[in-house]
Amino acid sequence: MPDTSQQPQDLLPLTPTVFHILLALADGERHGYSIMQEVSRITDGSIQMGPGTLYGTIKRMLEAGLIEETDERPDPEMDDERRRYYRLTSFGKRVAQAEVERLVALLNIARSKRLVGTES
Amino acid sequence: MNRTIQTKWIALSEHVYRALLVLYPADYRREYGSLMVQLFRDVCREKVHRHGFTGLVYWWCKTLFDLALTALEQRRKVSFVMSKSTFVQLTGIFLVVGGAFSAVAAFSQFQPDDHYTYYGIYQLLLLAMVPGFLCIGIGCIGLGLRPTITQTLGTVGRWTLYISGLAALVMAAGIGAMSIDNSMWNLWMGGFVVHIIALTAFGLLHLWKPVLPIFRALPLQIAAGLLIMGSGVLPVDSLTTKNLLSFLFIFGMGLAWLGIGAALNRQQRQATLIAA
Repeated sequence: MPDTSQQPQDLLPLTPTVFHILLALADGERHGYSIMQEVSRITDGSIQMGPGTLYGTIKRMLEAGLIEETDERPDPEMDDERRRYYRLTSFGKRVAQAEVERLVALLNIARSKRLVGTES
Repeated sequence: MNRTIQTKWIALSEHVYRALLVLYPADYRREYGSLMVQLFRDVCREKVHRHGFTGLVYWWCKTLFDLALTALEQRRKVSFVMSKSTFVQLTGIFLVVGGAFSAVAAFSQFQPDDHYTYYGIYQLLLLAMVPGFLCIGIGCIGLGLRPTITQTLGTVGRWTLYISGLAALVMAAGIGAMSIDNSMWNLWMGGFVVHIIALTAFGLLHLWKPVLPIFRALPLQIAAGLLIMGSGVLPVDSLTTKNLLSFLFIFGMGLAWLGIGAALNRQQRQATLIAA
């Protein structure tokens, strides 16, 4: 049961796995394999989760109310009914936005200290 | 690798991976097992299609590493949740046992002549406080772990119970040590003061938002405790009065914990019946 009193900031900073799954789901619902492919794509293949990591994280994210299962099928004719699809909840979206804002603030600090965009 | 051999290797890999899922807890396996196998098979196909047998070997290495880490993580989580919930369920029993021992130990206070050094049957009776306060201490900590306590009385309510529980354990240690060294009376007394203060705080919070069955009796015991503490500090000359007050307090507190424990057990049984 998700804790409804939680604020997005309570969950920050997110682990890379959770953040990448949130990013993968940001543009629509996906099933496990599709999430894995999307994470691999956006990280240029540097992150490839195993089945245990992916579903262990999905379980935690469901419990935290960041994502939810959906019965909708993007293309029912092309799809396997046994697959489960996941999508962001509004809370999950707010958490992802809060994490992005945190990272942007960090990036600005790094910029102000000339750690970004300079060749040593 | 030709297509038939590829299919064979993928099917074999899937069988082996499915068998290895036994490493995960049963509940987790039931919920996610088939999805994990499906995902594993999809990636097997992709790797074999792109990189042939080498791709499959790479994926197996990655999967075995992932399996070892995540199976351990899921197992640890389940065993912690199980042990915590079992501990919370046993709270009532601890309090019944602790209360009963304390009630019996209260009769040690009727020792004539001396209120501070115990001997003979009175020392034996006093030693019944060791398992008594041990169980009450564990019971108090178990009460603090109940989610309803935090939900109703917040973190402060929970910590008053933790502190009173820990103090009860100190009291048990003090009583036990007193049979070897009488100066250990200070340890018992220190634990007693903290236990009573923490319980008073909990009792006040509980008057405001009641959450435990028949706990309303405890503030009376606390008042009696303060009276006893007062009798230790104030010049109460009569040994008989001291003895009687001590007996009433310890016996009453024992009975109160016994009653609370029995009520918790009854609640638990009803909850189990409803769930069934």
